[in-house]
Amino acid sequence: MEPSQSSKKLRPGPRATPRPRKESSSAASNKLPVLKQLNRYNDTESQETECLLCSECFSLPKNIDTFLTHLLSSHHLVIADTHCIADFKSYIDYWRPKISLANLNEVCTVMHAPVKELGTNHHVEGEQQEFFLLSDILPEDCALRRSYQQQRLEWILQRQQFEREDTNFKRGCLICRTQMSGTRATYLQHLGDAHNIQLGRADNLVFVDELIDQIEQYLEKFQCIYCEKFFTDRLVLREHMRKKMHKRINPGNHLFDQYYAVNYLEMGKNWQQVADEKEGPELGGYTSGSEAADGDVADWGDWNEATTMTVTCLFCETQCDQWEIAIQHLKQEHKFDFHSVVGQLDFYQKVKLVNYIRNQVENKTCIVCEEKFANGVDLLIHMDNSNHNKLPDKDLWDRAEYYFPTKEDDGFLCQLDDGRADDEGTPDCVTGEDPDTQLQEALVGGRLSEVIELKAELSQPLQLPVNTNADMQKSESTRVTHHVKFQDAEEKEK
Amino acid sequence: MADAAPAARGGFRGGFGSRGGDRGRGGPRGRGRGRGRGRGKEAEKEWVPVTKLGRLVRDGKIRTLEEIYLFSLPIKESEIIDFFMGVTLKDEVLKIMPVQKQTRAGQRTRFKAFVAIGDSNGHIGLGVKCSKEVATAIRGAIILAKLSVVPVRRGYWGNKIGKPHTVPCKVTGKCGSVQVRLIPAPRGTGIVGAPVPKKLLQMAGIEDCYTSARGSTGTLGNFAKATYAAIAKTYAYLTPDLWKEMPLTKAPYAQYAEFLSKNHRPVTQRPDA
Repeated sequence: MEPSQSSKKLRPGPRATPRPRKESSSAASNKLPVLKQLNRYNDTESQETECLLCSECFSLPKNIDTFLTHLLSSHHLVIADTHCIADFKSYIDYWRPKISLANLNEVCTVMHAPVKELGTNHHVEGEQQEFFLLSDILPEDCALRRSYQQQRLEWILQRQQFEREDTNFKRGCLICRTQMSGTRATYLQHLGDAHNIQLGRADNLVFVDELIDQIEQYLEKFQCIYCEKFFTDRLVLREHMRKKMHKRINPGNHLFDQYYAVNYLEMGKNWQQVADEKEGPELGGYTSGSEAADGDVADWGDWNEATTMTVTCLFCETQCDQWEIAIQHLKQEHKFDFHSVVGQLDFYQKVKLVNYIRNQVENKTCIVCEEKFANGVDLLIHMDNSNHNKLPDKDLWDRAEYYFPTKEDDGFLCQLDDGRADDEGTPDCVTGEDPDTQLQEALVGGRLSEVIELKAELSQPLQLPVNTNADMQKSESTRVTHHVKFQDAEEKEK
Repeated sequence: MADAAPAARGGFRGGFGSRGGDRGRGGPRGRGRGRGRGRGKEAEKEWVPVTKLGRLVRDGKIRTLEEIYLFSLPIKESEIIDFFMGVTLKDEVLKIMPVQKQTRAGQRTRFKAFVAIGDSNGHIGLGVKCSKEVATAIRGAIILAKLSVVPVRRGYWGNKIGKPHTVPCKVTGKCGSVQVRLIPAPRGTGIVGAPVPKKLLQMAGIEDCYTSARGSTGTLGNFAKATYAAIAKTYAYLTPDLWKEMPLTKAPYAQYAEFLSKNHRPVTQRPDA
């Protein structure tokens, strides 16, 4: 009989697959359930996607199995380790333009495998069929898979962060029906303390709402969580779970893998394999800081984030990523050279000036002549025309009310360069030149009065002779033997 | 006979108490290992101090944490901090992130936890820990944060009325390429700064402060550490009101030397928590 492709189901024999796991066989391998459950990313709905090589549509990632069988039977294309691909749909979308019937040989590895007759395990003699394997042997593919993995892991961690901090979680307890509100951690704590249902530490869990829904389903069907046996009613079920200590999740039940963050950690590995990993020595030789078994190095440089704070322009709505860029923008767009305008002002005066400008701009008033305008654009036009992009009169802005930030979380204030980075030793760094302050008088030359004042406050005899250079040196050198009195003690004395 | 059988059964299982203990030991290790076997009981585990300082604290010879800071004694047991400040300390997870390291067997990904701890009234600590599971990393980071708790000195900006509310003087902290400067602010200003130092300053109990940051503030780890260093410096700076000479007192080790020699048996190696 002529072997025709349509009548026989062509399957590669066991020798052909490079890895022991088979993509198309199902029930035997318990990795597939892992695949199905973990194949969630951004919780997007399954979407219709075109096949790689033809125009047939499949709903991915829901119908991933049908898709894979189709690929195998129609195109002899096998995708290796589909459970390692975090975002299957994007993966297919990525490869579709790059793969065509023409360049299959270049992109995929080609395997030859004997052909099996449909329904039997006999190999048809002499028949060899070409199969194409799309796998991470190709560095491009490997990098792609890694990036999907990384993205998914970060998404999971974000979700976990939300669940950790969200205090609006309300749910009735599964057992005692009391209404619990607060964080998910308190709910899980209650389940653990009051009813001894151990689901794991809240920090390890993600998608807690769904997990509890699942548990609830089990309980409603009178099915035991651990052994999955059915019982006649609730009380019998609870007795069974109590006696057999089944009030916890069966570690072998892969349905629950998706709720534990550790399963998303390494590509294609579940928690058992992660636990079995041996901590080998790190490659690359010497690392900064010492590495103990779990890598508890105090390396603070890992945590990088793109932008911490955007800086809004003083006069318009433009947002800049960095303070220097904002300064440039001010100079170019508004002809306001911040550094030259500010010049010799000290830190507090700069702060007051910035807050004053923000206040005026918000009220659509000119910063120099105090003329009011209808909107921001008019104001800018006026300031350009009358050349009012300069330092206003001191008594306009040098007021105490402008110590307080006009704008909430003002990025501009956070990088007002002090100019004197190492000035911690100079006298007037202790406080600003505000006339209100007591210590103003205590600056060099006036310390005597201050010391006497302090002495009166502390109401104890003061042996320390007053301010001479020699004494300041002495106090420096004897500093180590002086004992510093702490805040509370000082408060109590006063 | 009828009594013997149930008794035997009870003996077999060890009765309620030890069954609770069995469960407590957590027989077959289930999901989420380290899930606090017998969770409620864990909190009451006896603390057996292994350091001299721990022994003194446990036996009430040292009354406040400040006495330890006075002599700059290194704190190696987090239970000491718990003893003085257990309830008031609040921890906050700043970030959990995956980190990878290259080993012979390939790349290893782990979770790294950044945790800040503080009581919003004069103490702050920061900790980092890496681990396979999120909960383990967080727990380890909290312990390290507790060990790094430092006192925070607060002062006044102008008039000395009410409670201290801002940093006593301009202080700078540096970590990596990030330099953070804390500047005193008048009462009511609030904390002017990026989210990370803002959180830390709030946890330290500083109500008003200007911040000025330089360097690559995108490395939030270094940013946090630099802020912590700046806050710690508030007690390192000698201001005029501290010039008064105080009488020297004996260090706790010297003062209680006899007590220690009688009651403390030094342990050579401590199993890591």
